[in-house]
Amino acid sequence: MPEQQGYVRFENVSKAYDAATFVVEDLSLSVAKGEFLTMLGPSGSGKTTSLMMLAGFEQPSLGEIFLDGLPISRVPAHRRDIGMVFQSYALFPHMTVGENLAFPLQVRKVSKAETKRLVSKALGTVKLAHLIDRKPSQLSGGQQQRVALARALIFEPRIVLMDEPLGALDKQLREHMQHEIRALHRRLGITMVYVTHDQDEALTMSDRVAVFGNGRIQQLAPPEELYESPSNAFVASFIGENNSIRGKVVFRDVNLCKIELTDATLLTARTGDVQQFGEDATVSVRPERVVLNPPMDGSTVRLEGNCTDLVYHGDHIRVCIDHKSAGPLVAKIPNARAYQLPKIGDAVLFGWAAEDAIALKQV
Amino acid sequence: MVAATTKSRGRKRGSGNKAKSLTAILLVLPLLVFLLIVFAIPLAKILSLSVTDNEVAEIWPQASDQLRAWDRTLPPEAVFAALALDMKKSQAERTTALVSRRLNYALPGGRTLITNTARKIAAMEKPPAGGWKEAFLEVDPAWSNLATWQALYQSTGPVTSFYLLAAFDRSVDSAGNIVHAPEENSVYLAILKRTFGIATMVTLICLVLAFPVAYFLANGPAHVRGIVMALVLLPLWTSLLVRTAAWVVLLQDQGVINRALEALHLISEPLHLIFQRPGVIIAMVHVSLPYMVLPLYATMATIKSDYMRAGISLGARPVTAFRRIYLPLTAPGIAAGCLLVFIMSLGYYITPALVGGASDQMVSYFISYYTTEAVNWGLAGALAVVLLAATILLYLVYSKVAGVKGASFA
Repeated sequence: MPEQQGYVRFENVSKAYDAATFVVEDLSLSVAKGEFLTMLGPSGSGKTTSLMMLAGFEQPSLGEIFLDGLPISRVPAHRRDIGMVFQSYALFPHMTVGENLAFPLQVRKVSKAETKRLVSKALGTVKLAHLIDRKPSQLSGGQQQRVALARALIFEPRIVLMDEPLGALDKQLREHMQHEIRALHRRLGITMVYVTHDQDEALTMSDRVAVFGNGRIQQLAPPEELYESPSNAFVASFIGENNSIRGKVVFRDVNLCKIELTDATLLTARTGDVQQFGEDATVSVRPERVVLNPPMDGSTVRLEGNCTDLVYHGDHIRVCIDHKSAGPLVAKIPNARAYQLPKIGDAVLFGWAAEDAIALKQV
Repeated sequence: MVAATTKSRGRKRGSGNKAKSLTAILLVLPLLVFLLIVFAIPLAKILSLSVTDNEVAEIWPQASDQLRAWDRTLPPEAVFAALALDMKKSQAERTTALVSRRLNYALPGGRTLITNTARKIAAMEKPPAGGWKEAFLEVDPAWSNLATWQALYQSTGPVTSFYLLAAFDRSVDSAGNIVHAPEENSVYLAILKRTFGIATMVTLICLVLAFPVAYFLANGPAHVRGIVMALVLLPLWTSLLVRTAAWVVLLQDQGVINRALEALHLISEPLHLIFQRPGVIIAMVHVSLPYMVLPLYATMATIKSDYMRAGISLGARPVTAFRRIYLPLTAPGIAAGCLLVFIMSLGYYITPALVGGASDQMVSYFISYYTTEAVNWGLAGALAVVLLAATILLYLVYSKVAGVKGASFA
């Protein structure tokens, strides 16, 4: 899918509103043509500021942004040819749906006949042709969202930016729209940069995800890699659910390391960003990788603890376990008949395959 | 069963609403009563004065009775005789002056005519040999003028269009047609035109000055906004009279403004600002400005910055985005602010009276003049009706344009 590397490039971009704090710090990022890249992060992590710099509503304090090989910091926003979908949709309330869609064409001096044709074609694409004469206030949230999307696409922009476009929708509609946006991206092959704080959205929609934290990209990787091999504890805790077990590094090589807990229990894990012997580390294990009564073999970690709670979720059961030095842990056990579930208060044997755990620097 | 439950619930909700609206009525009742006593009733009284006319009918009842059937020709002897009797009575009761004042409104020289005639007629002991008609014509030939009788006829009341017509420089001639009033009585159209002209000017200047301020208040940096808002509101906390008096000081030929301009060598002769139109407009704009800023600000504060950004990202130059997106979105605020300032400006009294010259006085000044000095309540009422009607008309246009039901200044 990605055809041309570096279609959008941030080169050492920093943004500061005052001398003391960087909102975005030394950001370098490259988006391929046709790629769907998501900027994911908590609020205040710099993701929206980065998007606004790309759109032209904020100026980088340092560094340069390139679009299709050309620097754009000095190009005013209205000449960047970048479509944008806002969280509030920003549909013009005094114009009808048709007028909203015609607006970008009118300011580009497209002929009346051509405008009319493109508007009805765009409305057809988002299946709203019958609403052309409605005012935005007469549309449902999902319909407004689709109009906003159609408006951002109608003038064939070079890239489309989306700033939490689904934030205002309810869960069901949000999932439906995720699917629609994804399908639209596949069909049109347009470059999209998507900002969200919702990790599910980021994982399900993106080709690659840039995880933002404290003004920096913490990890930039495809969704699977982000989930399976978080590069640091911030990413591990931000993406998906996570058991964190604190300990000290007592052995480390390129692939594996051993972490000692306070009661001298040794855990084997993949080597993440831990650097040296004696360092404080966190062993990160996804709850769905924790199993009960693990097999006795060299590559499996086996621990014993007490079951403190059982929560029924339909497709899976959450077993909460307290271990004397690893602390409280959660295991997601698939709802299958073969499983013999413990009762609350029972002692349980649990564990995970050593390669399912990763040792990361404590933050 | 279900239906019954729904029904009873519906009834309960209905009675709840009734109780709620009763509470609402009780809460606003004191204000309603207050407004009724101090506003609605006096207003209705003033307005009714513009169409009532019963002074002459009360003082000269017999002549008035006879004249109601007037056929627009010179009246017969009987009317003159009745008038003579009425005049004797009014002379004795010393009420002739009231009649002469009323007729003077409609008839140039009416006061002298009535006073003279009444004095001479009352002095005649018994009907003269040639009859009363002849006696009247001898005292003053004006009694053969149909215009004189038209004026008298029109003032027999009890209801008259005289004052309302006068407010538009119109009068009824002796043939019963509505015509342009005689030159010496034709000032009101000019005054109305001047009033609306000044109000329009003040409104436009306020809009131009207030728009950027309101924009800054809605979009500027938070720490400065508070200060600017305080500066905008400051005039509202100062007495109107004090502010106007301050302008009198500032605008004088030797005042601060002229001195400053001279010191900067921008002018060699002082600008005549005080008792001139520019001074009136400057002072009125100053007084009205907050009433333009506040509705504009209220509207702009609700316009998200996303709209402008969306317009720009769609390829519109900032100026185009402003014109096609931001400006239309501020329309309700512009309409509300202009309406407020325009209506307030129509009624300005103190400011033009203190800062303006004779040719800068607005309708309110004349309403005040006719009530407190000339004691012509009818004309005062008629001018008030015109002012009120203009205001109501403007509001109706506004609510139609802004598409609001009921009052909305937000």
